[in-house]
Amino acid sequence: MPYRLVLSPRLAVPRWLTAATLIGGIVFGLICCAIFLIAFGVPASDLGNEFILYVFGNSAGLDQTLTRAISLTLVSMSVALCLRIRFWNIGVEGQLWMGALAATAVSIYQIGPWFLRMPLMIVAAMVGGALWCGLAAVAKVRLRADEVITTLLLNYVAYLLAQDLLYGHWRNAADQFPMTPVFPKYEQLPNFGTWHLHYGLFIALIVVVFCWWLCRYSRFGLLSKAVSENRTASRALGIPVARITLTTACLAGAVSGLAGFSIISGEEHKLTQFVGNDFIFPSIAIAYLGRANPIGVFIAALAVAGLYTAGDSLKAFYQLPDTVVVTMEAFLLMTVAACDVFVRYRISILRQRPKVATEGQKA
Amino acid sequence: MTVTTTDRAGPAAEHRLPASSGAVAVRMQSVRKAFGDRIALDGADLSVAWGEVHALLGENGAGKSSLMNILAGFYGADSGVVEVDGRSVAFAEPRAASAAGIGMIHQHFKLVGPLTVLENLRLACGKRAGWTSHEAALSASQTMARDLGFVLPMDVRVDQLSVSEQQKVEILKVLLGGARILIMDEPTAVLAESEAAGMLDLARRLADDGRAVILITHKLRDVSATADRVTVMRAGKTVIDGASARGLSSAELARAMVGGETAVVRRGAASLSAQVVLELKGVGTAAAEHDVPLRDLNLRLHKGEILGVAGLGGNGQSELLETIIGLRAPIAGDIIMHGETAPVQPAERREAGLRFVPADRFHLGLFGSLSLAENLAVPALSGRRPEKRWWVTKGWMRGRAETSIRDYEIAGGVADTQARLLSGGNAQKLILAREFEGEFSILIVHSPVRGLDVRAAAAVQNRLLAAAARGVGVLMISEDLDEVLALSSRVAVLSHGRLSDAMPIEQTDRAELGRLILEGH
Repeated sequence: MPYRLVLSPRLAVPRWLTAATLIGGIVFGLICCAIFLIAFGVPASDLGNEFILYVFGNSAGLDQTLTRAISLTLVSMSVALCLRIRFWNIGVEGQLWMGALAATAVSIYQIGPWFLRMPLMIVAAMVGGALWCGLAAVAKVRLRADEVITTLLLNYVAYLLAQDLLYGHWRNAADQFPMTPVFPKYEQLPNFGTWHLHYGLFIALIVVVFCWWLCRYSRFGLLSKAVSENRTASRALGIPVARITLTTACLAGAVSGLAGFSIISGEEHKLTQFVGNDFIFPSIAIAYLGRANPIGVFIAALAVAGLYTAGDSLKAFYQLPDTVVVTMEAFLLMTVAACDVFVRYRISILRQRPKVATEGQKA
Repeated sequence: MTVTTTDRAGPAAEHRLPASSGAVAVRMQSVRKAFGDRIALDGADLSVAWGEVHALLGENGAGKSSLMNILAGFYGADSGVVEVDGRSVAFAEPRAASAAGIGMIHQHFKLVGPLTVLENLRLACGKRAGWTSHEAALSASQTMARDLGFVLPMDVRVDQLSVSEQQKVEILKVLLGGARILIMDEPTAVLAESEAAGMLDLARRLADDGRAVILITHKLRDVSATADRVTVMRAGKTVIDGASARGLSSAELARAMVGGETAVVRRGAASLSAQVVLELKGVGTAAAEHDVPLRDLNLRLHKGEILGVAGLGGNGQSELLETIIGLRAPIAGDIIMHGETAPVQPAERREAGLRFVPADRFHLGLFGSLSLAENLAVPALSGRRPEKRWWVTKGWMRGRAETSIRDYEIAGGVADTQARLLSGGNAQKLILAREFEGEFSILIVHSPVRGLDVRAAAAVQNRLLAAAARGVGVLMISEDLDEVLALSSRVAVLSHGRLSDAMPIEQTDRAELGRLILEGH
C-alpha cells in the first residue's frame, strides 16, 4: 500500500481540542447507544423522549436522576482524588460499606445525644471509609502492596462484614429480616418536599467544592500533582510523598464513606443488604469521563445518573434488561477513551517512503 | 496502517562469512550528525576489517554511541560515507541494519523479562532465522549456544537469569539473527572480573571465525588484551583512526581520549576554608542491578570551594548524588553536614541547606507536565515552612516565576509553559533557578552543562563560580575532564564506586587524571 498512517505525539495540546474530543466522544457514544437501542426495538422517535424529557424534563425523572447522582458523585470523586496521585482505588464499594456500617453503629448503639447524632454519623462514616482506603495506602507505602489488589479485595471483606452484622447482631428483631430497624427521624437526611431527593445533595455539593479547591488552589493539590508526575523527583525535592499518598487515600475513603451515609440516611433510612452494590464500575467510568477534575466528575455523574434513569424507563416500557444501561455506559466510556488518541497524537496520512535501506543486505 | 516490510536475506544467507579475512567490513568516513544545536559527530571515521576485534574508545559524549547508532540504523547521518562490505548504505531503521548483518549488543539489554530464553530468541529473530516450529528454534538455538560454549537453559525466564547469562542471550539473539558485524557496547561493564575475561575471549573467537567485532569500551585493559586495532574518538571526531592496538601505550591512548592540550585554567591557589560543610566517611551503598555500589567513599567538601569529581559515567556518579541528597540510604559509613550527622530524609537535608542539580533533568529534577511556574513553586510549598498553604493561585506562582525566568534567561519562558517543552539548556536553567533560590550552603551538581550550547554552558558555569565565591561548597560531579579542570579548585576521581583522594588542581594534570580515570586507583 502506498499510504501509511503516522501517529506523532503532540507536544502541546490546545484547550479547545481537549474539549472538542471530549464532546465528540460523548456525541459519538450517544449515537452508538441510539443505534444499539433501535436495534433492540426502541422506536427511533421515542429516543429523544426517553433521554431528554423523562430524564431531565419531568419531576419524577429529575428526582430520580439527582438522587442517584449524589452517591455516584461521591464515589466517583473518591476514585478521581486517588487517580490524581495515580493510586488506583477500586475499592469504593468497600469504603462505602464501611462508612455505612460505622454510621449505622452510631445509630444502633445510640452514641451521643439525639441532636448530635447525625453529625456523629457523618463523622463516623468518613472515618470508616478513610480507614478502609487508608489501610490499602499504608500497605502500599510500607509493603509496596499493589493497591489495585488490596482495595479490590477489601471490598469483599467489608461486604461480608456487613452481611455478618445484618444476619447477626444487627438483624431487625421485630421481623427477622436482614436489615436494621428504620432510623428515627433525626437520623434521616430531610427530603426536598415530597421528592426522594434529600439533603445529601448538599453533602455532595460541599464535597465537589472542597475537592475543587483542594485540587486547584491548595498547596496539597500542587504537591500531589508533582507526586503523580514524578515520585523520585518529588522525594528528592523534599515533598512528603508517603504522607501525600496516605492523606489522599484517607480523604478519598472518607468521601466514599459519605456516600454510604447518604444512602442509608437519605434513601434507605436503614442499613440493608443492598446499599453498596454496583458502584465500582460506574465510579471508575465517571472519574475517567470527568478527567479526574472535581467539576468534571460532578457533571459526568449527573450524566451517568441520567443514563440510569433512562435505563429504568427503558426497562419498564420496552422490557429491556438491566445490563442495557451498563452497555450504554461502556459505549460512552469507550468512545471517549478512544477519542483520546486525537488529543495525544497528531495523525497524518503519508505516502509510503521509498526504501533506501535495502542495499546493504544483498551482501 | 501498513507494516513496513523489509526484504530479508533468506535463511540461506545467514552465517555466511566472507572468504577473505582482512577485507573491509565497515567503512565510515567524515560522518556528521547534529541533534538540533548540539553536534554529536563532526567528521568521524572508522574502518573495521573482517576477522578483527576493533576497539572504539572515547569519553562519554565523545560520539561513540552516536556513530554506532548510525551504523545500526537507529538514526541516519547528516552527511558522510557509510559502507558495509564495500557497498554504500543508509539504513532507514534498525531492522534494515540487522538484515544487512549488523548486530548490536546493547549495554542495557533489550530482553523481555517474563519470557523464556527461547521465547526471547524466537521473538527477536524467529522470522529472520526462518524457524517454523518450536523444535526448529530450539535445536538451532542449542546448537549455536553449544558452539559458543554457553551453558544456558532455554526454558528459563530471562528475568531469572544473572546479568552475564542475560548478556549471553543477547549475543545469541544477534548471532542467530545472522549478524556478521557485531557491535558490543561496553560488554564488560556489567560483568565480574572472571566473567569479563570470558567475554573478551568470546569476542576474540567470534572475530577469528571471520566476523567483524566492534568493541565499545572505556577500559584500556580490554583494548590491550583483546583488540587488534583501536579507534579513539574525542568530541565527535576521530583522533586515532584504526591504529594497531599493540603499538600504543596506555598513556598515549589516555592522552588521545582526554585531549592533549595542557590549557588548564590554573586558578589562583585560593586558600581552602577550614570549614567543612559536607563530609562522607567510609560511605558504602548496596549493590543492585545496573547500579555501581559505592565503596568506602571518603570526601570532605569545604566552604566556598568547587570540588570536582572526575570519572567516566557509570562509575557511581548517580549513586553518589543520590546518596548525598538522601534518596539512597548508605549501608555503611556516615554523612555529616555542617559537623552533624545528616538527617535521613531528603526534605530535612534540603532544609539544612543542601541543593542539587541532577544529570538527568527530568528523572530527578523537573516535573514535565507541570508548568514552569509550578516547577519553581514546588520547593517553596514543601518543607516545614511553606510560603503558602491554603490559597495557592496561578497568579502568585506566575509572579514569582517571572523574576526567575528573567534572571536566568529561560528562553521561551512563558510561566505557563509545560517544563517538558523546554530545550535541554532551558530545562537546566529552570533547575538552577529553582535550586539557587533562597539560602543554601551545599550544592551538588552532576554534569551541569551536558547537552548545553557554549553560551548556556558558560552561563551555568558562571553561576557555579559565583555560588562558590559566596561561600557555598560545590561538589561538581562531571564526566567531562575539561570542565573539571576549568572550574574546580580540587579534584578527585571516581572509578568503580571508589573515590580517590582529592588533589589540589595545581598539583595534578590531565595525564595523571586520565590515568586514574582509566585505570582506577
